[in-house]
Amino acid sequence: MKIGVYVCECGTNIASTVDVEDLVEQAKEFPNVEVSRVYKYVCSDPGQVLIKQDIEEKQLDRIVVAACSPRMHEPTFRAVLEDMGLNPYVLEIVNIREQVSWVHNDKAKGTVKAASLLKGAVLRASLMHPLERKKVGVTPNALVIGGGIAGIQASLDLADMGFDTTLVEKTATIGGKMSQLDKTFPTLDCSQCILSPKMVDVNRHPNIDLLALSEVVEVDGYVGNFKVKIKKNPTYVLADKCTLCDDCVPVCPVIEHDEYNQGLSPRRAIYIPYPQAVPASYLIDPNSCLGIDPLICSKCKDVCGPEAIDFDMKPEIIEKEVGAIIVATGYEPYPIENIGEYGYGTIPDVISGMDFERIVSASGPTDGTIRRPSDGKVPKTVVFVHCAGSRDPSKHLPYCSKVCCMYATKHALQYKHLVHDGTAINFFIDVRTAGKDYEEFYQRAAEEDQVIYIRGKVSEVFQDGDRILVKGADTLTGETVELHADLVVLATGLMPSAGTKEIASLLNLSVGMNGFIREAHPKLKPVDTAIAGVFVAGTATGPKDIPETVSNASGAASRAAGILSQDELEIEGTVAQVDEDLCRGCGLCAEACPYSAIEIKAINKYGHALRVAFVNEAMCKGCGSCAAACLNGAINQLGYTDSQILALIGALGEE
Amino acid sequence: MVQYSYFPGCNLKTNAKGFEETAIAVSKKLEAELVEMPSWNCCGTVHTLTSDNIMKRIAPIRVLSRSRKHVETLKESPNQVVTLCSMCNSTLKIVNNEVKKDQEILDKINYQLEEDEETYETDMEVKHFLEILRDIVGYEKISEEVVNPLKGLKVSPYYGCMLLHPEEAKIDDEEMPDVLESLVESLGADLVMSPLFKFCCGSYHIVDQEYIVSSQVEKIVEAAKRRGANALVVACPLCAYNIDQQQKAMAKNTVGKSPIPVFYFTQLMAIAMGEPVKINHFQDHFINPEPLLKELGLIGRKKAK
Repeated sequence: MKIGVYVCECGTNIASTVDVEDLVEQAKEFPNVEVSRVYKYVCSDPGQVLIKQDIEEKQLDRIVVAACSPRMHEPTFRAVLEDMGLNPYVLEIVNIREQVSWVHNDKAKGTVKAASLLKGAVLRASLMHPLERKKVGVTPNALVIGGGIAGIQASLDLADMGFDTTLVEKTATIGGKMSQLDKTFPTLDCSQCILSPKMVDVNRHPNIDLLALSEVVEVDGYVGNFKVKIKKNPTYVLADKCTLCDDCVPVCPVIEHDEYNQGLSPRRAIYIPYPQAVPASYLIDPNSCLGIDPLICSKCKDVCGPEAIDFDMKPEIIEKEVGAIIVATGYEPYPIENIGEYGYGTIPDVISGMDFERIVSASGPTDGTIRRPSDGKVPKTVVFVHCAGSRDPSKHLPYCSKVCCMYATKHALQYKHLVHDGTAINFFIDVRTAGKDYEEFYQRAAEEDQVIYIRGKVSEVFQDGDRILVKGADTLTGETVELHADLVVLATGLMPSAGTKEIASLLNLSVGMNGFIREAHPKLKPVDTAIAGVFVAGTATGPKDIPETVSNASGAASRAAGILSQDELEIEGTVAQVDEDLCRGCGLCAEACPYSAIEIKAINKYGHALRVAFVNEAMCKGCGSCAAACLNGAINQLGYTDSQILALIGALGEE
Repeated sequence: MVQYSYFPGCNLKTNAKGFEETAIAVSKKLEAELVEMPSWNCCGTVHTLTSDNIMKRIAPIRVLSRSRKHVETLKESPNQVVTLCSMCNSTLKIVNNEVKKDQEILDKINYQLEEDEETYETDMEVKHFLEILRDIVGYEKISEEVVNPLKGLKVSPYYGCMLLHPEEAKIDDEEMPDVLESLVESLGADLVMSPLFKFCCGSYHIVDQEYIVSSQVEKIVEAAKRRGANALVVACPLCAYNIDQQQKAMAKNTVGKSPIPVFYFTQLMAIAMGEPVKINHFQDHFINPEPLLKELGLIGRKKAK
């Protein structure tokens, strides 16, 4: 065995705190070391050539590089080994930059620490074995969960690239929250007008299979080879027969709150969510319909000419095989019922931002005239409360919901455009306008349209006769503010939707403190998750505005395409390996595995049915949790075997 | 008949005698009798709100320990000490929670209590009388005992701070409480909701910065009056004192400000349940409620008959 040791100076990054010359001399004395060298930048091209030459001339078969974190240059040096015909897993990288030179300032002690780390690595390298990279095939289909703007964009991108894409949406129509918005900031273009062409595209695209009113109930498998079960709930209306004539609606005796209009207008038990809904189909609300079970009323069925209504429709389970999954399950607004100081949702004229969107919308309950819910009067003074539920770590959401400053500003502007003699007052903590043309939009509201901005929070809101008493503070003047308003609009924050929570637990995705799905890396892998082949787009990872959501979704689609476009995928060789003779099938490893890569299976051995752990190498990430959990020492983490780790510890323990 | 170990606290024995006497009278009628505990001391009041001084917690723990012994001598008494003052309620509750959570503090205090031959084992609960009325007695029972419905009395409930804050001592929802509202309605009075129902009364500033209290009280009273109230009901002796006394001062200093009487909730109950008027100690009030009650025919009628 011949080991080559290469110590990197990294300019002065390492050399200033570690005596690299001394380190190289010490390394020459370590067992099996054939050659030990120092170089200014080992990662540079000449540095790589140096290693290549040594491998050729001195017949090296193990390489140890003492440099920066393996997160930086492990792929670089593995490629060097592969170029020279060596197995990429006989490389060991010692991190003497992030873990030594950058965190210490005593050169003598730093050198001692670097030397013992290096010795451990050399001893470990002697015990290394070449590992094999396995390959798995890829099913070139995608699954997109959630039919909001993120899911729509991701599906269209993937479908345009030629991948068969299944888009699963829980409600009866795609479009999501964006379809409820009236106008979008900062351009004030109509939300529905820019969204509906995309919705139509989804419906018409030959590569998209749209499953509305459906939920993902089971996901099995691994990157490239997921098996998905989708439950399609019944609409009770046969879409291919329904002619959208609307004859069924007026005869329906059941009145319900219309979800699309935030409960501010009525709908029947048979309805179409809104005129532009995709898929364009009527459906029956089984919770309130009197015809499903038991059959008390069948008025809609009686008037339906094309006989499109089927009360006996049942849910069906659809199975799909996909290679990648994009989670686009979105957000929901923070419930104003939680904000006691603003009336717990009991004061009718205290409404949420989403309620205001519907009230100001031409397709909304008031046909676009701003009227308040209690008595239908046009409000002359409207207070917009920023950060309603956001930035309140003690009681509500601790984080900034990002879009509320902008949408509250937009609401105030829209109000001023519709009610010219009205007064719009925004209470804010800070006005956050980070986005293209956002600051200009805010300036326009404050200066041209005379929207009043008061820096300070509203402390309490009371019903006072038919008006609302708003109490708050102006923190610029240090005075308390009391005023009467006709309507109070809470710029409610964004929190993870129920669907985001469900899908995260179904797919074993890790979530952050606030319940949003955690990205693989917050900056460099913003649309990847910890699970290979599962990507995330839009507000499922945190509050985002529409442009950010759309680019996020395109990013996720392109990342997914990176997998789907390959014929087969290579899997890292550093996976867990079970010794079937030592395993007793207790299942501790399966519990410890964060990636659900271990299954307990029964095998026939020595004439007995034995329970042993089975590692799915495609799903294993090589984290080593199972090897640590195994009481029998039956699991070895390839590349990090027990004997290798003990050799490392031994070297660190030496004086 | 259930008996409760009752802790009066300082105010109820000095300038708020009427609050206590009416409470005891109605408690008997409602079969939830308040029996004063023996050898009680100060609840500890604001001192206990400092977090680092365990000495200041000795007073409330001694109260809890003695009340625990008192409970043994009562009929069907639960392990509860009942207060009438919202400050006592808050102080005792906070300290009780604290020692339940932190054995170390409890051990230190118990060590100090050895010379009084007291020891506390965290087996008591602290209740405000309003909690007993709401949760144990029930409004239904209260309205059954009403013989003199408070018709014509337009009462606006005022909570102040201590009944609803802090979180660990509150007796009702801090944003939308309804315990006083329900009580007022069950006595047959008209309920007047004022938005300033928990606007601070000025509290201890009455000692050194009276102007703060007077400006607070003016807002509280005017808000209630504007909405048609002819009386306020409170559940804290300090709120009662501040609002009552400051109205008198204001009436003297300003023209046209007609004061409205302030009732303790137990006084309203006593009147509605036909208890003798004298136990209300109306002579201790700065704004005498008797003219209003007479005008509405709520007192003095029986004598005529």
